[in-house]
Amino acid sequence: MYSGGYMGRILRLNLTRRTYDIEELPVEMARAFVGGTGFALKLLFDEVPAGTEPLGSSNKLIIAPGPLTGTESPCSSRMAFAARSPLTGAVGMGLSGGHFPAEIKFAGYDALIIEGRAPSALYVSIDDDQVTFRSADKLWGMGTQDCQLFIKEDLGQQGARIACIGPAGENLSRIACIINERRAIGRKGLGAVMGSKNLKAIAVHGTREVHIAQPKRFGEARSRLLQRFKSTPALYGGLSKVGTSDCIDVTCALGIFPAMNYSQTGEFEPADEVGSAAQARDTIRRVACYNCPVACSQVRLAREGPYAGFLTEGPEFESSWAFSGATGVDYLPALYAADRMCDDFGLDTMSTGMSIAFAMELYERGILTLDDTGGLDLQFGNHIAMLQLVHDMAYRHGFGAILADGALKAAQRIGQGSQEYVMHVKGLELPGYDVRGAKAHGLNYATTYVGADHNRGYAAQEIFGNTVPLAVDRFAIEGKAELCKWNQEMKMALCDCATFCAFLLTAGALLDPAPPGLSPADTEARIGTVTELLSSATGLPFTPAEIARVGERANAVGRAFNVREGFRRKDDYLPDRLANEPLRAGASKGQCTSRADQDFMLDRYYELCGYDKNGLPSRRRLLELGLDSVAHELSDKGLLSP
Amino acid sequence: MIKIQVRAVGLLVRVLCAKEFDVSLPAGATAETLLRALLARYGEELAKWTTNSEGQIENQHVRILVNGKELFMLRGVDSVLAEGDVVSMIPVVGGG
Repeated sequence: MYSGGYMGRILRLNLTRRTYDIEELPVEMARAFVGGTGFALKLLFDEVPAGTEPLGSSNKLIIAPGPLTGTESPCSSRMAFAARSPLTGAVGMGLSGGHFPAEIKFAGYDALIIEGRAPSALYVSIDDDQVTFRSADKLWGMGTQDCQLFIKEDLGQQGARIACIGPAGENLSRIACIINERRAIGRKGLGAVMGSKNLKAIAVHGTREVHIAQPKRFGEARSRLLQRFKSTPALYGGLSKVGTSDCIDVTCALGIFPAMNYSQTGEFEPADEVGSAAQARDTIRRVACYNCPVACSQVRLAREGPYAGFLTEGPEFESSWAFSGATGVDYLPALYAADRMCDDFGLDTMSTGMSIAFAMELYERGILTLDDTGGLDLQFGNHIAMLQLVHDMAYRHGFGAILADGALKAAQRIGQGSQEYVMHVKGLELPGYDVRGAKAHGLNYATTYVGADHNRGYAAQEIFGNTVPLAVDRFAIEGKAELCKWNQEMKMALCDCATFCAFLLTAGALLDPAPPGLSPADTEARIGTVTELLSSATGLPFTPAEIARVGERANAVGRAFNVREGFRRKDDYLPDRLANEPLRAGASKGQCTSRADQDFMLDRYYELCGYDKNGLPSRRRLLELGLDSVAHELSDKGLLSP
Repeated sequence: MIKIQVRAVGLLVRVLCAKEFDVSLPAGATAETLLRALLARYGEELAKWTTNSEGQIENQHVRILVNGKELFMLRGVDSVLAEGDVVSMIPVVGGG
């Protein structure tokens, strides 16, 4: 039995009946899935059956921090949100940091499960064991920043932490996000899930402490980790100083900063205009998540020009790219304005930017005209039109209504062969790395359980030249299936379940030193410190081998959920452009990832994961992972390979 | 003597005080020769990114490309440089 780390309780909220129950956290689930995304995926698979309407009352929103969240373990205030995605129909899972995750633990919970649909707009207040359902009539229509201020006043509790939606979520935009503080559970349309439940916000306040089972062991492991922070220049020497903006400079230098909806990568590289040096000039302060000594979030303020006065926390690399590279804009204040507007309206910056970029390409090709766009001149680079569309997408005004549910839905509405210009996997728009020049990163886009999400198995070895677990040639396809699976499993186990900030992993600070290699023994040698933190915090005798297996197990559940919804091999490919159009300029010139290259990597990846040629999991592997109930359900539906 | 062009990316622009500059080295110089010359000029700030605690050159925190090719895919720090080579130095950072 656990004796620390976990609070031992799951809070189940029913919005239809305005009731709640507190359930015991099963120790078996803690042992098998650790926490965070592991819990969220397990609960989602068990409780949201195949075919559940994503915006119907039967979909559930599950929120789970990890066992290290709220402890003195640094950079561990993370939480997973999961539901069936209204954007993709697959798993919708996103993580966020800040203070909200720790506050859930302080209130006494390891997970929240939100069910049903409120008859009228409300918000939920969770104050330790006291749960109240409060009217959100006055909050409906409000931006996310004001909403958080008003709820704190309404509750008389300035210490409350709040996750809420903006107008985009209320208007059921399938690219709506959830905002806590100034951070986002960004992708896959989870904001629309809250909107469909008439749930404006969740406010949490707690007074408990997260008990540590073995404080001395825990303290020693924590000290080892903090010592490694100091010898990793990417943390205090990099992320603390410029946040993630340096990634703009790096991806431009590597020729993988996607430009103009991926049509001109390598030909438009605005590192001087919008990169780290330019953004540093506008930085006015830094912000840290709970118990994070790095404080990478940079608050930036536009001081002049038409967007003077726009202040934003960020924009992070992906948001910077979505409103510059993707759309051909090189006017930095417009990035700040777009980022702030998306946060206030509750729109995902990446899907918003890429949906606008898609429309811009159609306009440049003559598929869309001024008549179609309501008079908006959608040439690449037009930041005025870009910002108008951010507003109009949130409110479903004019042409914005066409784009409000993401690029793939927009293509279905527009027709005229426009689908060929949608850059997506499983309906989720591509992130800001042109993976023609980074093959394992591309295989990750293709195979994650949520669609094209860079963060589920970030190939830092290709993007940053990280040498852990081994140095690789970013253009090679050989060995990339092995690397992709390793990245996905380490990210899942160490960051998404434990939980830790992903930057520790990509920067190289989270893993213990070990010789290069991908074998189980190499991997187990690298995760000793994290395992020690988990074991000493919880009192559960986790071993490195067990923790390494958690990543594979949780990813397998995500895969099983999608298989149950009809996803197969055909859904694990990159857009045709990335297969057929070699990059014409830049440091990755000549690169593409042909269908044959993708098949080579996919075949090997499936073999390693125990899938058949069509991407179906095998009974044997699921049973090896202890996923008996998942195997039985897929078997009953005829969805297992032998 | 040979002339090498050094290109710094991102945070390393601050450390090396310029985006691009030339370095003159004796004929037959290797990547290590170049890095030692840069360390002599830029000291501790650059050492954080390019050396381990024993002072050995390592690529754990910096990516080095010679004419666009990864240094580790050549002959590592023993790679011999030639007149006009472009050496890019890219910091290992984070993105998201």
